[in-house]
Amino acid sequence: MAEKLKVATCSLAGCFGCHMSLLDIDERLLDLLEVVEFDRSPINDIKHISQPVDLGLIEGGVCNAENVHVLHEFRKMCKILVAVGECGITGGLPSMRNSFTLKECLEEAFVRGVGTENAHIPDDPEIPLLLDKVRPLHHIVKIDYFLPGCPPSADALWYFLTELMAGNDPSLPQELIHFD
Amino acid sequence: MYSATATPVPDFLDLIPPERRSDPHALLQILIQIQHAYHHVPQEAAKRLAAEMGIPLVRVQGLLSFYSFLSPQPQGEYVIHFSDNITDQMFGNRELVALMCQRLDVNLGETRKDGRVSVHFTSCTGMCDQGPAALVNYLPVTNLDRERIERIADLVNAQIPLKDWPAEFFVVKSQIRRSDVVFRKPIEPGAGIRASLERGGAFLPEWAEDLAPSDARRHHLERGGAETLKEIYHSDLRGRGGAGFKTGIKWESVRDAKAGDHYVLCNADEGEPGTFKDRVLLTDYADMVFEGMTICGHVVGSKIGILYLRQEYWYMKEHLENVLNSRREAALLGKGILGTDLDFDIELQFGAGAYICGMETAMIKSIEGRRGIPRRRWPLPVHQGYLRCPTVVNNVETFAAATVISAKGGAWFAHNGTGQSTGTKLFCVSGDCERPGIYEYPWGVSVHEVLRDCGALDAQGVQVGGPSGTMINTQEFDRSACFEDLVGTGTLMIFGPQRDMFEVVKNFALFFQHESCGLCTPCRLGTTLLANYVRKFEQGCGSPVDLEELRNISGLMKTMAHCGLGQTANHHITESIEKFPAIWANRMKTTEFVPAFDLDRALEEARGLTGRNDSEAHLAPVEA
Ligand SMILES: Cc1cc2nc3c(=O)[nH]c(=O)nc-3n(C[C@H](O)[C@H](O)[C@H](O)COP(=O)(O)O)c2cc1C
Ligand code: SF4
Ligand code: SF4
Repeated sequence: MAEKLKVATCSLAGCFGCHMSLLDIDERLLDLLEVVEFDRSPINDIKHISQPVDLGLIEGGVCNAENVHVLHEFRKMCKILVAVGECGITGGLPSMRNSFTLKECLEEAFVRGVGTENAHIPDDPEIPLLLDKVRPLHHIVKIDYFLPGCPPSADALWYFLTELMAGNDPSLPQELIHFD
Repeated sequence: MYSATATPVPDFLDLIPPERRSDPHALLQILIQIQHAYHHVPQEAAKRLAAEMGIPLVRVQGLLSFYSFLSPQPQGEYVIHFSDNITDQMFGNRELVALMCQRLDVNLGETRKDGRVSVHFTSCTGMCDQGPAALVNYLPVTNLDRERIERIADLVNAQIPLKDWPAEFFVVKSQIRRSDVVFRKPIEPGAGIRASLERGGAFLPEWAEDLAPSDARRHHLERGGAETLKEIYHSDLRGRGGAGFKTGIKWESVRDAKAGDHYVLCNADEGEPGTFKDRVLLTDYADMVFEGMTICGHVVGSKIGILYLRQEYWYMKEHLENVLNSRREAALLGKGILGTDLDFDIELQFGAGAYICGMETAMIKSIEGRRGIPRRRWPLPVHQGYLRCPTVVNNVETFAAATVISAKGGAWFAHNGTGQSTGTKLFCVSGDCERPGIYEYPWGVSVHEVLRDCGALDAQGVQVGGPSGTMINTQEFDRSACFEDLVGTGTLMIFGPQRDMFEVVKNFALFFQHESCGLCTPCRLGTTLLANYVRKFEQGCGSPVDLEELRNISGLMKTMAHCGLGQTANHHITESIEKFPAIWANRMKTTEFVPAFDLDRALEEARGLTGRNDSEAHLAPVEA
């Protein structure tokens, strides 16, 4: 049997919806596991990529310093890096905060918010610092492919993965990126 | 007339005759009038107009946000718009704007607190051969230098009315440096239309006039139009507005169209930066242009012509109205032209600052009082144009050529030029040369010949046809200007050896970003992405990855954009990459992708808010 394709995945500033969509390929997951091997991924809870992998799938944009570190790790370790879903491609829903200053956002949440006690902006060094703006992935590293959708459908993910593995151009056909 | 106070100006609709107030087609023209009178369009005016016209308020607001010379916020008693073409920039407009703002104590883009003055940038104002230029209260001021700026600032500070400013500030020169067979001996007013009528035998001996039955007169008129159309075909005239469509085919389509009234629209939007031939034609040869429209009216069976003039040429209004009036007096316009049954009249309409309005379907919408957004291509304007009626849209220079053809014949006209490009052409020469201005050459002239004549043999590059045209380097100076080779509007912006071509690219990228109408995604986003990548290179953060992205986006725009603007708004990018690779290579500090912004600085705000400064509160740049 040919060597399995090594895949890593992660969710940055995303909602895990894109990962749910990956699980949504249902019984095809079993076929997938025949040909791929997951390295770091929320699916198996491995925290760091252990060795260079063939493919990295990232959902979510970049909203804090930790996201930046993870993204850099992925770029370094993944031969092909894919932005999966609206948030990774454009910043998506989390980037709606970009029309406000960080100060306004944090004060709204932690100082002025209804029912806040001990009102102050959290400053614990354990908590990753927020970037001034939520960024799409390709603003920070080179991204090789973009998989549109919120989330991309299970079929779109399946199509992309199988075509890529078959060595074909994984451009999605019209029906998989037609949303209305 | 102007009130600097923020309270609503009473009776601002009094300017407008009541019957016009209820006509939504007049909306844009009315808003221009209000803008000129009050230097903004007050919310109250917008509301009242919407009510009187029975249209939603958003339609009025839609115009205010679309046209850059209309503003919902009060602007200064003196509104100053600095032309920001690359030629203005090369001759120092940035320093002049800074000086102006400093002298007036006002920030760019804002209105001074006392309401006296506001200073803005605007796209090319068509004064490229005598820049840097600006518009003061919508009137052009040319040849700006430090001294002129200081004097203007003093005049504004002393609140001197514009009419008492030195007249030499407002001089706009025609600067025709070379004329060829057409403009060496321009056509006398009336000769073209007379020839067109004569072709059908429209002029009867006086004694026969009253005897001739009216259907015979109509027949003569009809035949004259048909014969003149043949001359246009013989001339092989192609449109001078850029696309080069055969004028004969266009006119015949409208002539043959059965439905509705027919219209003749003259496109004097002249928005392509670097282009100013229509300005010169309308200044020195307006008769030839109006006569061409009249001849077109004769050929296609139209009674109404409209000249759509860009806002930047507002200063010509009086002059053009005078020409129209004298033509009416000479029976060259109006009812019963030269005593025949031919009726045709021309009105002026103005744009309000939008390059896209030069695109014909956008122009039609603008004339109909709407936002100038191109519509789908079909049905063509020749079948459904202005008010959904068959419509000819031609460039100013095309109509002038039609007059020549009618007067001298198609064969005479076709004698000059090349196989595919007959006749002569006006070239607009600006930038680094000794003699900028207008040059008439037969089509097919080489760039080198123009450079020699205008005194620019040391040029490193030329932009032919404006930012949407072609960028060429020294190796291509033997190429010729004609539809077989370098097409376009006959615009040559010349860049001397001292110039940084990257500045040219940046100017064009920002121009298109500003002028995209926003209808379609490939152009709305594409122009912004191109501009962002150009800025990224400017900051020294570009890499081969970004260059590849620039090529990808350009390709996408070329094939996917809805209209000519988006399809060509990437030429300067791909061509400069190919022909001036050094300007890009010089700005690449890495071979790997790097962000366009500083990651660590992106944490600065959060550090401030949390008071943190530990190692996790910083992001070091990654080693490539
Ligand atoms: C973005 C854009 C801007 C244009 N601007 C002008 C213009 O300013 N003047 C003009 O005559 N044609 C302009 N055109 C071309 C017109 O759409 C149209 O082709 C032309 O007016 C037809 O006249 P012609 O056949 O006499 O050239 C523009 C086209 C595009 C796509
Ligand atoms: S793209 Fe949609 S599904 Fe995916 S992370 Fe963002 S919000 Fe969730
Ligand atoms: S290409 Fe640009 S200017 Fe043309 S319709 Fe699309 S957005 Fe508007």
